Amino acid sequence: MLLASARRDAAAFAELVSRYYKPVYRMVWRMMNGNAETEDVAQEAFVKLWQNPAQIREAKALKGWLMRVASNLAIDRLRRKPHGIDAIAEVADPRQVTGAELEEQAVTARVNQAIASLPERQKLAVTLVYFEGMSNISAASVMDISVEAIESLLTRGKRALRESLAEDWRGLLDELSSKAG
Amino acid sequence: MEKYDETQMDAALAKLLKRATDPAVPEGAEARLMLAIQSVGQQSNVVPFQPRPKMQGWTIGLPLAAALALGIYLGSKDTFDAYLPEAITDGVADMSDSMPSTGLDDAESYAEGDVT
Repeated sequence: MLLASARRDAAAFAELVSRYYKPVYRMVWRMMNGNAETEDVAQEAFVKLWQNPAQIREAKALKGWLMRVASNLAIDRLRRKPHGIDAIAEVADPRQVTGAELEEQAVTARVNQAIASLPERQKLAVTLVYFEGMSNISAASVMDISVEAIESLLTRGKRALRESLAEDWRGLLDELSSKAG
Repeated sequence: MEKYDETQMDAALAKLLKRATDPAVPEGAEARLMLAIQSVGQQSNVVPFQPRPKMQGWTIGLPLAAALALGIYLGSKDTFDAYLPEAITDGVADMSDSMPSTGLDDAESYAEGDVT
């Protein structure tokens, strides 16, 4: 598929897009706090691949390469034009939802906000490992850092999330332990 | 003192993170990407080699041969000496010596004391 893309085969590239666009888009969305420019950034990463497919020598390195390029583009875009975190705090019209749904949406908004508040490298590490299900080794490769460094970023990221979501996760823990008991 | 251990807290946090928004890809995003790709070219990271214009052999050889011929011609004529500095032309080849030195005349000055 990569070889076909290198030969300017649009059909093969379309297949590659259908396979990797979603994870790239999700990661960029998380890094850019749900900003409307997410699509532009994800698109730019794929355009870079199309323009210069020779940068990737092995097909198995493709996802990691796309993630790295897209995350760098997202970070660059954020540094040039910082975005607030309002974009992801989507709470539906309270008249249309029940109390439980409203509470669920409020938790979602708080979790989104806590992730958005993380420093960019911690956010990227948490996104790659927790949301994209990558191993520490793969995430370290995407971020071009050592496994120890990503473990450190994850530890700090989790600590920050625990602090900002203290009420929520403690409640969840109590709930889980009472179910177990 | 925390009543939950690290593993429990990690598990709870992971569960909580699952409640984060799962962003949906906007409709038509992939099609827009394919359109964008068709509008841009593809480039190679190999810079095309531009060969230098090849010089004809005779364009170098001809002036060199002419300079050599002129040098030989002028060197064979004594008239050219007039154009050269004196340090080059004056007495360079004068090796004639009317009184050949044998070294015997100088021996006395090297001897210690009086030899007479």
